[in-house]
Amino acid sequence: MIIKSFVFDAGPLEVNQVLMADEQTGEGLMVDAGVFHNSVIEFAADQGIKVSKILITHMHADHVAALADYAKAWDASVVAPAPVSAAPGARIVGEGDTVQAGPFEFEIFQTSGHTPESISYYCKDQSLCFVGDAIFAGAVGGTPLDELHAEQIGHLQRTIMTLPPETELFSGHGPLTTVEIEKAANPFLQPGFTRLP
Amino acid sequence: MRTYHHSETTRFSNREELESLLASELDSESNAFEGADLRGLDLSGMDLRGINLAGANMTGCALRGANLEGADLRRSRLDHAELQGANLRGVKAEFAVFGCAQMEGANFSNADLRRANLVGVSARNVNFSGADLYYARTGGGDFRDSNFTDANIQRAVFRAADLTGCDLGTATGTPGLDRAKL
Repeated sequence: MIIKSFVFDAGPLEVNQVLMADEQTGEGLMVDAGVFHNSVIEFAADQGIKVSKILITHMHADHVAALADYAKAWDASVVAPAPVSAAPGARIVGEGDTVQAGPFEFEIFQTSGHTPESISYYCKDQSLCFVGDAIFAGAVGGTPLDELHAEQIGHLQRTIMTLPPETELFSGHGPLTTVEIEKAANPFLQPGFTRLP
Repeated sequence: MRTYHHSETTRFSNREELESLLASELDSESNAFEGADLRGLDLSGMDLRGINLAGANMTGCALRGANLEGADLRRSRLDHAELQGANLRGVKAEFAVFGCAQMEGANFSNADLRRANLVGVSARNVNFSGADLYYARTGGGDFRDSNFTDANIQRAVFRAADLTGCDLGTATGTPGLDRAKL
């Protein structure tokens, strides 16, 4: 497997976009599409990666703003948790659905809270999960209300935190982390820790 | 950026295999260990100066007192590693994952720790002087009495970390300190 994280400035934050491909066949996918940059296109071409699907974790602009450009460049289909004007033919998925992208199968988890539609893509065979902004290294995605924060923590405890501890978590922002690290030390997942004001 | 090729991973099953390869006239530019699987090995006290361990998986490795000065640790996994007293001066560790590592008394001076995962580390009395911690992330973590002199902590996040006894006044940049203990 080839996996590459690209990091781009997107306003006040750096945002991650991840390419994942089978090393033998080159069949691949990208997760989120907030920033269009030729380095992504060039890397895929240099590595012989054929991106057939773009998976979207949630609909914030820093994750979808360049979706139309990438979909056009690769003639890729789009999988998203909600309708998106940039990709009218997108497949809309939710909790319990599965997505096949090349040799990789993903199970969808509902991880809403940061946004109502937020989902995560879990690839059991590769022991990794694309979690968008549901959880970060040492934090969780921002929520405007206590109720949404509680909903988000509930989803995380029910889904991501039940995955095998070695599962790698690719977040929309910041470094890679694992279920084991976050379960042990993420302050938001510890008893009694409440949402920031 | 993170790139790895799982199919190229070299698994080392014990310390002796690593030492044998190190002794076989490898120079510091060798990529023999890039992406290597070293999980759980006891490499305490080893001389690993300048070695290229980019993308290596050293989860749970014992590296107590090891000398990794100048090593390339970019995108490597060092979560739950034992790094107490290790010399990591000048390491290149952008995007490295140190989550839950024990690193009391380690020397990270002038290290490149940009975008590193420092969640839950035990980092008491660590020398981070001159280190670049831009966008590094922690959550919790014990940094008591650590030295951040001239470190770059711009956009770093020390949420809920214990920074008692740390002088951040000589560091540059404004970190996130939500619920940090100062």
